[in-house]
Parts: sequence; structure tokens; C-alpha cells
Amino acid sequence: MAEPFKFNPERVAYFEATGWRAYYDRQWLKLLRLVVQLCQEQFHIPFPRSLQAAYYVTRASAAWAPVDHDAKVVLAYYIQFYRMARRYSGLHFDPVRAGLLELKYNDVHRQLVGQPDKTAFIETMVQLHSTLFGITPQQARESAELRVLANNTVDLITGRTSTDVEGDWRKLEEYLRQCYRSIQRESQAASAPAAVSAAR
Amino acid sequence: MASNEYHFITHWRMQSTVDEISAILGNGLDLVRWWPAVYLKATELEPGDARGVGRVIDVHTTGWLPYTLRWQFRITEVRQPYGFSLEASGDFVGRGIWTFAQDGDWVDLTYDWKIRADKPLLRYFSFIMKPFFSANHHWAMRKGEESLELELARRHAPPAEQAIIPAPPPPTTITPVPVVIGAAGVLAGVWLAYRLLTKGNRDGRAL
Repeated sequence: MAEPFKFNPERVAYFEATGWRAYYDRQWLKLLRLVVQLCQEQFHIPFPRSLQAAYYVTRASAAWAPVDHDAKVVLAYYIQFYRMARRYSGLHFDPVRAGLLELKYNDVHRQLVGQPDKTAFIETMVQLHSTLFGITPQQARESAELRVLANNTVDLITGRTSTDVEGDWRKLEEYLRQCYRSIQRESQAASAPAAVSAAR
Repeated sequence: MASNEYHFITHWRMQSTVDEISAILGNGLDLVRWWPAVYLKATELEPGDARGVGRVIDVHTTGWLPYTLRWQFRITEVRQPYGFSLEASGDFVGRGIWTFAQDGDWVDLTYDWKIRADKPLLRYFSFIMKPFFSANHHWAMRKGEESLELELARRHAPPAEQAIIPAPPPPTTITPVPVVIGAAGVLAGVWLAYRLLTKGNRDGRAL
């Protein structure tokens, strides 16, 4: 079994939440800087390769944005990104499967905006976290649910139904923080038997 | 080891079974379809026995650098479904050993490739170009890894998803024209810089 995957949940949550805010505020240079830092922090992609990784994510997002997007193009960029993420993170996921799930996550998020039942969204996030971080679907459920809560919060802000925008941005970052803490904890738990046997 | 001798060991890890991997990599004629960045053409010269031992395939291959290689491989041993060995001749002379090991839902693949490059370009320029030729091999194997991941995804995807799996990476240009133009540009730049420097020195002496 592999070493537990290590990252700083607080910093990853900060870069992701601030990146979302920059995206919705159309602050593109700030967004690029934050995505580069997120790639470095979350998947340990070194600079300047983190620029290339950020480029792939940005191209994927831009290609996906039109409702009549070409899914093949979006997927190709996500696969490129996840190949880099796998290479530097030491994680052992299949980049094609991760790309397919990332695409599914985008689609299901868009389809369920404003819908009360987010079951399909949670199930997609369970599969994505399980695939990426080498944890079981049961272990990935808590982080998936927290991630969907963060998405619901951003939908409130961007749908202009939030009554406390600043408070909701803070709440969103807190959900992401808890989400990544859960992934960190479950990843360590998944690797614990290996650590015990190595110590014997 | 002579300068034109190479020994590469490549490791891949794929979410699959040894049977599936063995079926894909053991089909030499199909390499052109799913690994087109490297295999331009494959033709069977001899069918071999029922297990595939003795089968000979003639291949035309390329890499990132703008040269192509024509060589043949003969299957010398089949350890179905845990791998097979081959003997190479032509522009490459040597042997390759594929080994597949199941690890849960994953397969660990190892390719041990020990060869002598007999194509004149590789034989005569290996003493100086060895790092580039080696990088070319690593590039080819990376494309193989990416292509095999895509091939497995295509096989495992439900029908609705199959259409969006990207095609495998294509070959780079096989014409040497870009390299020749680039080299000519560099040489012209060096020559121009030399002329300017020597002109400056001559002018300085004249004073």
C-alpha cells in the first residue's frame, strides 16, 4: 500500500475558495496565479510545470463553458492535467478515469443548480475523491458531501440569492477546509495498515 | 557497453487484468491502431505456432526525433498471460521482455529492452547523440503509456462515453525538414556572430 498522500487542507481550501471568487469577479490574472498555487499545493506540481498544469485546467474550463461544448476536447485537457498531477503527487490513479469523472462533475453540477436533490452530484464526487486519493467510496462520502455543500454555497452567491455574500464566501472556504481535512484523514487511515506492517 | 548499445527498463501501471493487457500487447499487428505515435506500419512475416511463438512482425516505427526505423521482432517465448519475450533484428538488434503482474485491480507492466542500434545514423552518431536517442525512446514509451490508458478506457467505457475518449496521440512529423531548417538557422547565426566579432577585432586593430 502507498504512503499517505500529504497536503495542507487549509492552504488548498484557501487557494480554491479564493480562486472561485476571482473567477466570479472576472479577475483573470489573480485566478491564474491562484490556480498555479493550487496545483503546487494540492498535487505538488513544481514551478514552472504548475503553469502548464494551470493552462490545461483553464483550457478545460473554457472549453466546457458553452452549453454545446465538445466533451472530447474538454476531456483531453483534463486528462493532460491529471497526467501531470499523478506524475508529481505520487498518487496512483488512472488519469483518463479521473478526467471522465471531472467532466461528469462539471455536467452534474450544472444540471442540478437550483434542484433540491443533489444525490447524483454527491455520488459523482464520491467516485472522484475515491479515484484520485485511493480511498474507498465509504471513506470518500464525507468529503464529497462537504464539497457539494461548498458548491451549493457558491450557487447561492452566483445566483444572487445569498443574503450575506461575505459570510457565504467564508462558509464556502470552511466547507472546503473540512472537505480536505476529511480526505487527508481518510488517506492516512487507508495507508495505516502499511505503516503498521512496515514498523514490525 | 558500446556507444550504440542501449538498455532501458520501463514501468507502467494500468487499471486492468493481465489477460486484457496480454491480449492488447500480444497483438503486434494492432499496435498501429492504438499506439500510432510510434508504430507507423506492422506486417506479419511469419505466423508462428498456435501460442504465437515464432511469429515475426515487420514494423516501421518513429519517435519524437525525425527519423524512422525499420525492424522485425520474433516472439521467442510466451508466458501467457504474464508476458512474452521477443528478439529484434534490422535497425535494432537485441531483445525485449514484457512482464505483467496482477496487483489487485491493477497490472504492473515492465518492459526490459536491451538493444544495439544498427541504423547508420544511430550507430555512427551515438557517441555524441546518445542522450537524445535515449530521450527519444523515453518519449516513445510515454506515448505508449498514454495510448494504452486511452485504449483501456475505450474498452471499459459504457457506450455513451466511448465517443468522447480522445484518440491516441498521433506521430510527430517524420520529415527531417524542420530539424534541417533549425540546424541551418543555428549555423547561420553562429557564422554571423563570428563575422561580426572578427570584423570588430579587425576594426579595432585598424585604429
